[in-house]
Amino acid sequence: MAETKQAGPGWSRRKVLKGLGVGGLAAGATIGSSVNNFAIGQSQRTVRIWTTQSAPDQVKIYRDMISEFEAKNPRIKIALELVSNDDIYPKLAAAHAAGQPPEICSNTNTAVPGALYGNKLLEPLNDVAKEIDFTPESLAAFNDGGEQFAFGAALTVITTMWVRTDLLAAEGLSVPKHWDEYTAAIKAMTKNGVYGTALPYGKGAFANRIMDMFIRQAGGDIVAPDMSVVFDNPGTHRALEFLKEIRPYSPPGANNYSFGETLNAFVTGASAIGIYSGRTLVNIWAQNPGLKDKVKAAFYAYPRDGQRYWCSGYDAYFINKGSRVNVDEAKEFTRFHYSPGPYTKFVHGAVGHNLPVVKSVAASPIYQDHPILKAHQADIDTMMAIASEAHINIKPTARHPFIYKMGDIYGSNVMAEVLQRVVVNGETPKAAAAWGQDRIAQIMKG
Amino acid sequence: MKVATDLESRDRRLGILLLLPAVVLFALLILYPFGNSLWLSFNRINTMTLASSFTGLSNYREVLSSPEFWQSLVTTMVWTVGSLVLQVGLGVAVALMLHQNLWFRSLARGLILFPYLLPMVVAVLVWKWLFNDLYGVINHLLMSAGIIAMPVDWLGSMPNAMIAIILIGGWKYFPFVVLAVLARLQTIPEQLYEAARVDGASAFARFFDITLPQLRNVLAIIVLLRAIWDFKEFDLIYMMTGGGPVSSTETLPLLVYKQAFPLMQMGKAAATAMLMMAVMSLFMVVYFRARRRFEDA
Repeated sequence: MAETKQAGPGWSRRKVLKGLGVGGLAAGATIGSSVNNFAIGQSQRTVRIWTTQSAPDQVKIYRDMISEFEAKNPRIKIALELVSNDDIYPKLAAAHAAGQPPEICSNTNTAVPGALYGNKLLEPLNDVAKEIDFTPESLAAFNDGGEQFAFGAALTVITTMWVRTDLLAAEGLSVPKHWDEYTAAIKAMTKNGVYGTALPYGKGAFANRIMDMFIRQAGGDIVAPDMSVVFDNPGTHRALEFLKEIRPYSPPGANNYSFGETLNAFVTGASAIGIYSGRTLVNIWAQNPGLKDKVKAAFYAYPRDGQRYWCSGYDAYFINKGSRVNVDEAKEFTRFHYSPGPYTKFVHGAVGHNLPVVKSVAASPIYQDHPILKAHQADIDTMMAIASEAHINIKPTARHPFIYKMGDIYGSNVMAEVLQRVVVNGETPKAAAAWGQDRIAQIMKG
Repeated sequence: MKVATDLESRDRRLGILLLLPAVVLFALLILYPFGNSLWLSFNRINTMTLASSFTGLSNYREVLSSPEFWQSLVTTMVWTVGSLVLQVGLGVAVALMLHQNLWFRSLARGLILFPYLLPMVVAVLVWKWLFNDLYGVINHLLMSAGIIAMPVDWLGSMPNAMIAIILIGGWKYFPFVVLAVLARLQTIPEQLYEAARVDGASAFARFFDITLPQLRNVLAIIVLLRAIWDFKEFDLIYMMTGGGPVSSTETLPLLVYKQAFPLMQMGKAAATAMLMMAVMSLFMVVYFRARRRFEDA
C-alpha cells in the first residue's frame, strides 16, 4: 500500500481535497455573483449628452429631468456634460476622430449638425420626428431631401437687438431701424460710463454670427447658391467698414467678447444697445431687475438701402453616429425630452431664450403661465416676428441649398478673424476680405 | 571554458530579458506615438472623418511656406523667453528672500506655492476677472490712481495681450523656481559666506561670487525644463486669449490645435508638431553644447 503523502504539516490529501472543494464552491458562488452583477451592469447603457446650456437653473432642470427619466428607465444611465458654445465643434471633431462621440448634443449652433451630416456622422431621426408634434419650420430647418438629421432644441433668436428705452428717450431718440440711425444713437448714448453698444469682436462663434448677419444686410454673401465662394464682395467690405466705424462705441474689451461678455455688458447696464436672444430677459430678471421695464426687443438695424436680414436659428439637437453610440437609448431619451412635461420645464429653464419648437407646448397654458413671458409678451412677439423672417446659417436664403461646409467655416473662426484684422490690425476691408475669401475657398475645397 | 561560455550566454539572455520591459515601454510610449505622428504628417487627413490620402512632404512644404507658421514661431519665442526671464528672476529673488530668517518663514514658504498648485482654469478665470474691461480690479485701481482715464483693453489689443499672458505665466510658474533654488541654497556651506565676509566681500560680491556659481547647475536644469514646458504651453494662452487678438498670441501649440480641430487638417497639424519638435531639439542641442563649453571653461 502506498504511503499517504502529506501536503503540509498535519494536512492529509483528504483534508486538502475537502478544502479545495469548499474553496471551489465559495469561489464559484463569488464568480456567479460577479457574473450576475456584470450582467446587470452590461444591460445598463449610458447615454452621454453634451449641452451648451450651462446656466445653473438650466443644469438643475436638466438633472431633474434626467433623474425622472432614469427612474422610469433603470437600464439607461444619462451622463450630462457641459460644453462651451465656442468649443463644441472642435471637441466634437476630436470625439468623432477618437470614435467616442457623445450620443446626444443639445443646443449647438445650426452649423454643427450641418457639418456632421455633411460627413455622414449623424443618425437619421425620421422615426422620432413622427411621434412628436414639432413645428413644421423647425423640422424643415434640419431636413435634407426627406432625411431628418437633427431637431431644433429650441428657437433662439440670437440677433435680437435689445435697447434701453430710458437712455434712448433721454436723447430724444426712437429705436434705430437703420445703420445711420443706429450709429447716431450709439454715439449719443456713449457717455457717463455707458457704451452705446456692445458687439462681440472676439475671435469666436458670436463674431462669426454677427459678421454673417451684417454682410448679408449689406447685400453680400459668403458662399453663393452655386456653391462658389463669394466672400470678397462689396457687401463684406461695407459691413467691415461699418463694424470698424462703430467699434469705439463698444466697451474697450470688446475685441475679446463672445456670448457671455456681450450679454453681461447689456444686462449690467454698461451698454445701451445689446445683441442676444431672450436670455437677456432671464438675466435681467435675475441679476438686474431694475432694468426690467427699461428694455425692449427690436429688429437689429440694417442699412437703409440694404437687406432685411437676421440670423436666428434653431439651437440644434441631434444624435451622433458611431459604433459605440447607444442609438436606441438616445432616441428613448429624446422622446422623453420632447414630451410635454419635461420639455416645458426645459424651455422654462431659459424662458424667452429657448422658445418652444413643440406645438402643443407652445400653445399650452402651463408654458405660457410664466412671469417673464407674461411681463414681456411684446418682446416675445418681436422675437417671433424676427424668427419668421430670419435664416439659419446652413441655409442662408431660400435660394441657397444646404451648405454643410458652413460648420467648417464657422468652426475655423475665419470670419471673426477677418473682423479682427480690420478692427485690431487696421487692415483695409478689401485686404482682409481677400484673405478671408482665400481661407474659405480652402475650407470648401478640403 | 565551455562552462564559462554557457554562463556568459545565460547572463546575456538574462540581461536582455531584464531590459525587455523597459524597451517595450519605450516603444509603446515614445516610438509608437512618434512614428504615428510622423506617418500622419505625410498624409492629408480630415480630422472628423479620418479620410486620408498619402501626400508625401506636401504638408511640410505648405507649413514651411506659410507666414502663419513663422509668425507663430516668433510668438512662441517671445512668450517662452519673456515668461522664462520673469519666472527665473522672480523665483531666484523670492528664494533668496525666503532663505533669510524671516518671521513666518515656514508659512511664507508654503504660501508661495499657491499659484503653482492652483488649477490653471481657476487661475485663468481669476485673472480674466482682474483684467476685465468693465469690472476688473486692475483697471479700477489704475483709474482711481489717475494713471489711466479710460479702461484699458488688456486682452484684446497688442502688446497688452502678450504682456498679460507673460505676467500670468511668470506668476503661475515662478514657485517651481523658488522650490528648486531654495533647496539648493540650503546646501551651500555657510563657511563660504563667513570666509567671504572675513575677506570683506560685499553682499553683491557674495551673491555673484558664491551664490550664483553654486546655483549654476540647478538654474541650468530649471531653464531647460521650464523652456521646454513653456514652449509647449497651451492651456493658459488658449483660455486667456484664444491666440488673439487676430493671431498675435497664437503660439505653435495653438496653431497645431487650430489646424487639427477647427480646420480639420490633421496631417498639417502633425507636420507642424514635428517641426515644433525639431525646433525644440535644436534648442536643446545648442543649450547642451553651450553648457559643456561653459563647464569646460
